[in-house]
Amino acid sequence: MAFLEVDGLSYIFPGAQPVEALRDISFDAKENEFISVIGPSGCGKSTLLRLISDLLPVSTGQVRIGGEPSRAARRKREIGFVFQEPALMPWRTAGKNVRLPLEVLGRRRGGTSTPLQLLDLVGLKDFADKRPDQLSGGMRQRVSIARALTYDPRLLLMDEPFGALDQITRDDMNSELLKVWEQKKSTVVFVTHSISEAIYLSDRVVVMTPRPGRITEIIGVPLPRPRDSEMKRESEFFEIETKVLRALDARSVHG
Amino acid sequence: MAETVKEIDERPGPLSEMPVSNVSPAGGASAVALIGQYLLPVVVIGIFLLMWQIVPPLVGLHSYELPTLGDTITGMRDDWGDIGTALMVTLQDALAGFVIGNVLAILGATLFSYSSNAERAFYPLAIVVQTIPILVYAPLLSIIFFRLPFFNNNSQGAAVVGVAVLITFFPTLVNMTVGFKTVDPRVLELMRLLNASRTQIFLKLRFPSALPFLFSSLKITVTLSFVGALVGEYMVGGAFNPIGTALSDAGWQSVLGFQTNPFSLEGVGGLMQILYSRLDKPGIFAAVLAVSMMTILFFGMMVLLERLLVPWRAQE
Repeated sequence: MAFLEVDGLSYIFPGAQPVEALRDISFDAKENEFISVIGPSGCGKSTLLRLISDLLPVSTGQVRIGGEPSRAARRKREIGFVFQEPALMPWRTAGKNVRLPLEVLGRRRGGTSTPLQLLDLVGLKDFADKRPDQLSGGMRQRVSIARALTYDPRLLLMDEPFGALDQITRDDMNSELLKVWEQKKSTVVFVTHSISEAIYLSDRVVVMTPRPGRITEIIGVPLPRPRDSEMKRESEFFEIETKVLRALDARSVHG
Repeated sequence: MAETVKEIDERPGPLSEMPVSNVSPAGGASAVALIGQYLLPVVVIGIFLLMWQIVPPLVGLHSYELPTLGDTITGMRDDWGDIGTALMVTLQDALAGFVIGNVLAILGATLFSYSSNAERAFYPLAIVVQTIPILVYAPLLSIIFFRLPFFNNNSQGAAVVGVAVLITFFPTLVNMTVGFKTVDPRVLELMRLLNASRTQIFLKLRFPSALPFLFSSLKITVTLSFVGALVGEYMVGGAFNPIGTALSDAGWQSVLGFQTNPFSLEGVGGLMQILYSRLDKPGIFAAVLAVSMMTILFFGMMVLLERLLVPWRAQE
């Protein structure tokens, strides 16, 4: 049975001129499945994540996480979120930023890993006492990933987490993310507008088109795991890439 | 806010070998930067002091007309007994106003942060009160305080502190009200995701986010509190001197040679009126200079405190 179910989800931003952001979005994800959502800017990808995580209230359609509505899942701390910006507290060291969720939740200990172990996992063991302004952009984003993992969320939502990084850094971060994910399995919904990033990381790629945001196709990625970056140069990878490109182009057919 | 962070190498590998960016933004040109930062202002101030010493006698002004730097220093030495004791009172007036004004302002901004209705209700009043000229505060407050039994026979002294309170209150209220709102929206979403309580959001996010705003305000208001104390003392010629009262009550009649009795002194503002009536111009200059030095000292202390407590924003 699916762990995450999104069924008939629509969303209209209220206001003087209401904007239809999402129309009839349906997909699901198995436990520990890695799903990417890809589409051009303005197709409602971020809105989708905010609806799944109960940061925006669901009005039409439904979201179920482990069989429960998203609000209940959020309250049970089953959802982790990584934003496009690292969104760290500049006055806290890396270690204390990672510990923040535990403080808010009033827990002495983390889930299966301590904040320091998580920093180690993302390769920042020696940087626990550095403030964000002493770290580079990529390092800050690693801290933010470690922070999202402190309370062992079963669902991890990532909103273009590497979008602000250069291509080389981004490729490294992708490999590191997969390493982390192999160790700390969770269901991931990863929003991006990089096709190769989406394919490299995911089990399935959800392709969306804008105005209003709709799903055109869900494309499986039958590449074996663990993945390595050599796979990006294999013909199978190109075939999937072509499929995704076609799905993205479908919007011009529909107008 | 623009981030002036030095990006460093990102490639994976032994991260411990990576340099951490403690490098100054100027890099190799630091000697030139140091000259620009410290030497130039010192030179300008030096030239100013030199002109002050040389120009008045050159244009035929005598020390009773326009005292030179030397005359002022002599005046400081001659009147040090009066100036020193008055300075201690002004210091106490100013600091009492500074502390009370800022604490009230932070509490007010905290209330606004919790209740937008309170902000809507009181913010306009705060702005209206702020438009009253500072010179009017002192007599107005001493009239108001005269009726309040709490201040007994020292309503004028309380009015002096009141001026310093009012003058420090508004900048901090405005700054902190903005500061509590200027939070990273993503971090706020994260706190909501974690089901953080309002108080957790305030203590862990809003308050630290507002600290840079607090310190810009403290730097302004520490200067203003001396202005307020001086103006208040000058207008009503009294001194509340709460620290002096506490000290003399505790049996300390003097500290470091300065009297602590709250009723025998009138602060630098009051002293300036006396010196003026004596036509002791070097004395007046000396009194002004003494207050300036004291103000600069406290401004410097705020800058230092900011570096210690807000290291992530105090680099500039």
